[in-house]
Amino acid sequence: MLVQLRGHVRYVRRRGAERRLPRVLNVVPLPALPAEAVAAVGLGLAACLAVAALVPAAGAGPWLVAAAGASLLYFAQVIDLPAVRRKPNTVPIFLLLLGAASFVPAAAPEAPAIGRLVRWTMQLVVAQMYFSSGVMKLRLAGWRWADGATLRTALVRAHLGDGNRAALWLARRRGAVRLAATLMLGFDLTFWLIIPFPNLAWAFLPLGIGFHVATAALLRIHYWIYVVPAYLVFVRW
Amino acid sequence: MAFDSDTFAFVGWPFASVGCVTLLLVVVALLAWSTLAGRDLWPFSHYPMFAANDNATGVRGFRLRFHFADGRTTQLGDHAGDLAEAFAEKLERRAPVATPPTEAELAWVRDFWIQACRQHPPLAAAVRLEVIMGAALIPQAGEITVVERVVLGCDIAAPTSGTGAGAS
Repeated sequence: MLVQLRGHVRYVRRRGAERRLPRVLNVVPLPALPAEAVAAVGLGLAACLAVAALVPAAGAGPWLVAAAGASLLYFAQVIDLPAVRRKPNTVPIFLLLLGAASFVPAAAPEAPAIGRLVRWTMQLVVAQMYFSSGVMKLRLAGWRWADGATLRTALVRAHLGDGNRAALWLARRRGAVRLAATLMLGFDLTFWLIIPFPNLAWAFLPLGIGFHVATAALLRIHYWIYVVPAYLVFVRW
Repeated sequence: MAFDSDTFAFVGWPFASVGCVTLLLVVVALLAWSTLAGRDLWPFSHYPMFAANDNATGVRGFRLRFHFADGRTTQLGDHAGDLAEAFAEKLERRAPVATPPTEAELAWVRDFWIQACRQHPPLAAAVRLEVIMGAALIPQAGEITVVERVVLGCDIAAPTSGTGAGAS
């Protein structure tokens, strides 16, 4: 986020009042901040995370909850950017869950169970992203989505939009596109199995990373920036 | 349960734990609702990207290409994805694309270049801007055909001259 902060601030400065901000849960409006304030919120978010991680004496809970609020406010300002949109959706949810869990005293008898529940919910947040994406494909296009036509058109559009030769190369191979579309739909609909069967992480996580690398290289969709770090909730320490 | 006036807290009641579990339940409910209803409830989403069937047989797109004095070329999308998208959307509204560019159009192409330079300063060394229109035929069977041509171009050193020409 810090790497992208300058670009985000420039975007806010350029678009000014033209920006359309989402409402939290479609209800709570957020103010459209000027560029300087967006920079301050971004730096504040980073500072909150740094304090939560590096200063145990400060108590992580309030800082993580503040970071969750700051992330909502920050990403709402730049949500129209193709590089943002739905991609950081998991960030405020994760921060809020971690913040709430941090308020539970470690010595409380229910603390271990709550820790497991929080981790499970975070896993569910990631799994829902893929499952919902798969359900939407079935709902809007049916199993026909796996025939690759939609993916092929997306690849051609990507080529026309930025001259991506790899996208056109793949689009011209119908069998490979059909296989990729089938794998994508299968991945979307079955990723949740990683929750009841944690051993599947060794198959699903590399597949997921490969999927996001491919969409970044071919379609210039950079979900991996936000999603791949979220995969850590599936890794047993 | 008792109220401790010194710490201003209820003692013997695990408020933090109850609050945390309540939050978890709310999050799970919102995730389920987004998925089942197929609606966004930001930041909860149903992630409908690329879900609709798109078997268009013909598509077109626009991009801005930068030429440098040493012969290198680069695209707007390589450095500023949001600008490239805005640029393509603006071009989509221009019709017919074969008409010669007006001074106003050349001016806003240069404006995109200036904005792109703010995001990626090396683009300031570009000597020529070209708007490429690409069109593709995607038949149900057979090879995908792509045709691209320069529909608008201008030398940055002489920004008032130059029109589109050529094909690739």
